[in-house]
Amino acid sequence: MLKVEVNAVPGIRRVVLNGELDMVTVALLQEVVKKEDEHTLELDLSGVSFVDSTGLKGLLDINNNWQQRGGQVLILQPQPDVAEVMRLVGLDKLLPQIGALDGEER
Amino acid sequence: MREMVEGNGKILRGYGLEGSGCSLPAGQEGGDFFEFISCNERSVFAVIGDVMGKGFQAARLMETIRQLLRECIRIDPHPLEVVRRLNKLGGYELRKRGSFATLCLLCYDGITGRLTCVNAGHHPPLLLSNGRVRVAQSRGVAVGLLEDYLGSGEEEFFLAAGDAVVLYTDGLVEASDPSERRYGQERLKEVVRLQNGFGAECMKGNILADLDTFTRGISQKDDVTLVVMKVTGKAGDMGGD
Repeated sequence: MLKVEVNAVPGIRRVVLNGELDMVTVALLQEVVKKEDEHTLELDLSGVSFVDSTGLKGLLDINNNWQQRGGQVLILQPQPDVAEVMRLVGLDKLLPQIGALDGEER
Repeated sequence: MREMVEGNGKILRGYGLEGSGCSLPAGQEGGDFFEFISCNERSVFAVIGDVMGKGFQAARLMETIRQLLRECIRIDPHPLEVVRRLNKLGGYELRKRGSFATLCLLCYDGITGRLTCVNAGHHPPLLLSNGRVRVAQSRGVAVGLLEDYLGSGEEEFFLAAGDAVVLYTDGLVEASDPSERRYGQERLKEVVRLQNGFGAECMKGNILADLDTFTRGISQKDDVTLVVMKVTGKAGDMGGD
């Protein structure tokens, strides 16, 4: 189960996610994000309790698409378990994380 | 080395090791894989990996990575070089398709008992020795994410008869019960700790039985791949069989 909400700020789209980002729900995120075209896409993961490998690939796809358009994707406030799985895979090297909920900023 | 393939499972005997692995698919084809690859008369590789994505494309990419992995080992079997080269060759294929692969590569020297571990974004192996479980610390970025592999390098362990190593994919530790609780690495460590004295095949069966108990048999979203290797002989008195 995943809830996706879009907040508009000039130049920025902040997409707030609540729930689990996995192979069942990732399509919903991709569908919502596809309609956005601002330079900066912020994905607020503070409400995401779990991301599986398909969810990680979904985040990478979104990042690749955004970069091809010259934009940037920022990950906001991932929960510690989510931040850890992104670190384990190395996705934190490609997707800047801001304000991880364990207090660590990178 | 003798390798027996039975359905989704493989059993390895040789190099003073007994290895047992299986991959349990969940629904459509996934990207999990594992391999036992003979290197020379004294060394063998055990590799587990997960190509991101589902369906035909993930399965095809997984086959490409498996073939490239064997080629990389043939060119230069130094474990870190294998992963670096695989990241160059396989990473290109993966990036072209917007994918990446996690991988953990172990190389076991049956003469010295040395186990070398290189990790590329994969869940860390567990090592069981005298009833104690250690988590390998080697870390690295998944294959295909960066043009050059970035990681903490090789980690070495020296194994003795009776020691065991457990490799697994995320589908195992992320399996959920009917209340959506995750199986988790802590439960896996505990069940591995209780396997002291059992053979590889039995350990694998016991871990999967515990997983089934936890999930109460409900179907899972992701593949589960599990490999257990157990040192059966005293280091120094065996070679490749």
